[in-house]
Amino acid sequence: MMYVNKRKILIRDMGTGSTINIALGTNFFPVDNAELIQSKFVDEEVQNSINPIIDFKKLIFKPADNNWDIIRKFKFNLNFYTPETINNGSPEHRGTGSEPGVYSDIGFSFDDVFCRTNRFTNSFFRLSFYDTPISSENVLLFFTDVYTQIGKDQQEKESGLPLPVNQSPISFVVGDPVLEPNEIHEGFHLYWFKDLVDSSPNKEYEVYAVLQFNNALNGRVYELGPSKDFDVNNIQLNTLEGENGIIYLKVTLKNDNGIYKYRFEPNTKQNKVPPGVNLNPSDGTIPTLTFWQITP
Amino acid sequence: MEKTNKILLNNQRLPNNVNVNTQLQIGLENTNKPLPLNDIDTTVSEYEQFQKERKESTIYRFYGVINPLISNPIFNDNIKIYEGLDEGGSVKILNKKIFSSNIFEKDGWIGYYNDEIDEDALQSNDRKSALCEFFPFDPGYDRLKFLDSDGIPNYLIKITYPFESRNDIVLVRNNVGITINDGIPIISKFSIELNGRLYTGFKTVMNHGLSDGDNISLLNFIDDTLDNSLKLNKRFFRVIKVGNRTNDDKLRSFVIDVEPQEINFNIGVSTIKRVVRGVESKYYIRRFKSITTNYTDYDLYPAAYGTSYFTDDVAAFNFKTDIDVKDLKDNLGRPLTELYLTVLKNDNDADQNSINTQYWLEQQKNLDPPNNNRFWTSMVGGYDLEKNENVNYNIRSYGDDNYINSLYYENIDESDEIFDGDIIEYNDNELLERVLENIYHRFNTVYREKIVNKREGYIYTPFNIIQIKEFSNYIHPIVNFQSILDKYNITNPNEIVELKKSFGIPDYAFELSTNVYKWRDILEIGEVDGIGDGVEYPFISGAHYMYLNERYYLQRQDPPCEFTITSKKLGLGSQVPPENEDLFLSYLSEPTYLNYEFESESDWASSIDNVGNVSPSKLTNNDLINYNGVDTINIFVNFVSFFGDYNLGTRDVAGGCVDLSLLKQKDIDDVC
Repeated sequence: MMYVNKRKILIRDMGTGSTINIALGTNFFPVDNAELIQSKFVDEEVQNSINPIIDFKKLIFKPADNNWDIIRKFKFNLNFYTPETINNGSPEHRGTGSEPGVYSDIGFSFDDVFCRTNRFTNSFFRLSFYDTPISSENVLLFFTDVYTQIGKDQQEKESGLPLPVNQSPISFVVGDPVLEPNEIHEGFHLYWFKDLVDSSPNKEYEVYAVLQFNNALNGRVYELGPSKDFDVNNIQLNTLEGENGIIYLKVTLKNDNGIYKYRFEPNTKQNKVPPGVNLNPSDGTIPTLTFWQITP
Repeated sequence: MEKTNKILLNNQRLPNNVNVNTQLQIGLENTNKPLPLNDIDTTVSEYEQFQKERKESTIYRFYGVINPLISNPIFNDNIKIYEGLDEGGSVKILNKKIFSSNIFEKDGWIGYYNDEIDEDALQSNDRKSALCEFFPFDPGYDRLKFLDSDGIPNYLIKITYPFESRNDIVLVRNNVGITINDGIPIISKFSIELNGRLYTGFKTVMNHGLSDGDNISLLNFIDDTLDNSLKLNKRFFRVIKVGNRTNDDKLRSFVIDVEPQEINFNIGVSTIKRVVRGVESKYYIRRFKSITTNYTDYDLYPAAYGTSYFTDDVAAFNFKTDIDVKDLKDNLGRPLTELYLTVLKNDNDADQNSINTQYWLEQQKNLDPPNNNRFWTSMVGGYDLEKNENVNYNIRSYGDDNYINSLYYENIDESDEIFDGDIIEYNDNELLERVLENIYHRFNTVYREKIVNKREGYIYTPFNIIQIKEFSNYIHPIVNFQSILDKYNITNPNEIVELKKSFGIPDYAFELSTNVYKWRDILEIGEVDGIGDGVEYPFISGAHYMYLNERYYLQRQDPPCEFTITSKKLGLGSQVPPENEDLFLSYLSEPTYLNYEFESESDWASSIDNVGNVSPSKLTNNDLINYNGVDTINIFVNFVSFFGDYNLGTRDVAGGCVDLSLLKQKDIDDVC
């Protein structure tokens, strides 16, 4: 049996110097192709079944101001509803600007502050970072905790003693471990995957931060946002979340020519006076983020 | 068939056409895919896949810590620099001399305790003493520490690798062109008695790398026998022992079995080479090339709980930049087995607007560029070699007037891409490099070197080895590839290359003769040979992670280990020029000031009511140096003069090798 075409060529039909092109057909099937299967099929399929290498390299990101200049330290101010206004049924935050509240607003006594009781020192705020500002679908990426401090803000200038709790601001200063060795460093740097940032458009990667204060005195978790632009008596979900909500503060991680930085980028509501984010204070003071309690 | 072509001969197309040869392109495409005839089960080995990926990866990520040992025993001047009002009432940078009695050492740093209240510390009450804050003299923390708060790095860390070698440097000056390529120079000879007979010993200018029983060749030595029976150039000599008469100095002295009167040497000309199974070693300098270049290649931050025994802050680093060693070859053309964590002192290490920087630049303003606008001299390189005025590249001698003709590696800058490095011995019968001498970098402040003529600087070793792979401890048996080529008459170069690969002959193999090779295998990561050689480190995210724990020791160039007491006679009182009062005060401000004493005991007795033997720190112009109403009193002012091996100008502070118990007069309790 032949599996090729059969042609008869007569000499008289051919001119001088004729050539005949013969097609090199490759449509044959080897009966035993085990070697081919191993090298071309199995090995390839095995290779296809192996997961690609994912790069888990994380880097330090340093905070920057609005001009992407790295800052040495910055401050968090937390402002809660005052007990008096809660009691009289119309909750209001302390002050009218971007100042912090005081420790008496959340129930601490002078002894707590002076003696650094466990319930004081174990209270902290958590900055949680999500991939999107939509609560129903976002994923928690990472978080950072900052514990209560008795720093210069909380001390009398002359004696160095802790201020009375109704004067002791709820503020937290975090600083660069090299440039500001005397400050608290937890919460200053962010740590994230290098390749995710490098492969993002413009090498900028966006996450969204939410702040919660954990009060060890009463076990309560307070939600705070970097804006006062909401009606305490009519809080709606769409006021809180989304790109223009008040609780999600956009944070951009950036590879700036090999220097990895991040900065807080407030939306319109978070930028309203008094602003929640002031990274370039005109008076030369320390860059400050202020968060206000949302639900009383 | 997918496609059918009909091809007509030319004479079939038109009546008068003639047939010609015709070429037809036929694509050889195979669209079939072999399918297994049966079900096939295959097990994928996670371990094998891991090994495969690890073997294929050439990416390295380095992180770790640097344990520094840094202080400032070599400082510009014992002054406090501050801003104040001048006589005209305008703000000006001023200085105040710190009396010898107020100079203190704290954790190795030389400086003073501030005599003015730190208002900020006082007000904030942050438990920092408002009075007794220690300030080092310049260069201080802001210029020397690995981690300092001015935000301007003091050192640059690079990853480098040896990429070429040079053998043209002249370690000992000579007129006949002898270089390191000719072996290790001899600088002295000694005789030594062993078992009742005399042997000859030689001292080398650098580490010789010899062991007892090694063979050496003696090159350009002088045969003092009458019949030239030593046959210096025709035989090798066995090293009887290493070390000198007292069995010390084993790294640079050795003894051979030749009577001392029979052999001699010419300095700079006579050299030795180690011999392994009849083959002389080669000697050369490795040169290093930078893989990383910038400060942005890594993060530097305080290590957790990072304080060394000497209270230096341990610095942690993490290289953001991945290091890819693919296609990189070392100086011998081999795949890289070593990288180097290279620490380089930089020049722009402090705020140019700080009052301290401004003060020193003002002092240097009359110097020629670039010395008028930089704090540090540029770096020079050399080795820790024997003290001899004919020796080049002796880093400890730099600045000594007796070594003015010496050669060094000059004008080294942290931004350089290529650096001269260590001195290596390599023997073709061992196929391993041995480091004989490490390179040192040296720098000093411009003020010290150019203005006050204090020429002792700081030195350090910049290169720290990172062993990324190791060579096998055995040499692969010799492969006579030529015999294969001859047997099968293979001459095609491409075939030869392919055949070499199939024989497993690496491209770095040493060619004994034409197509006869030997080599050492490079152990894969995780592979350990019979004697435990091999490397093992984590492989994650497609990269090799290596933790490095390195030291950085900033040393004195020539620590003065000896001292003498010197005295200067001075007259005080109403009968001597008033300049003597200033002179006396300047003596008290010398860092090396020790004490003063009266020439005559009667002077002491007569003055005791006026002055007593008060501490110099309490001196004022009114209570001692005037001696109002007193006739001339002669005093001897005593100083401690420290000196080291080299003439590098006045030394302000003793080396750590000096026993200061005789001189100790005060401690911190005297001030605070």
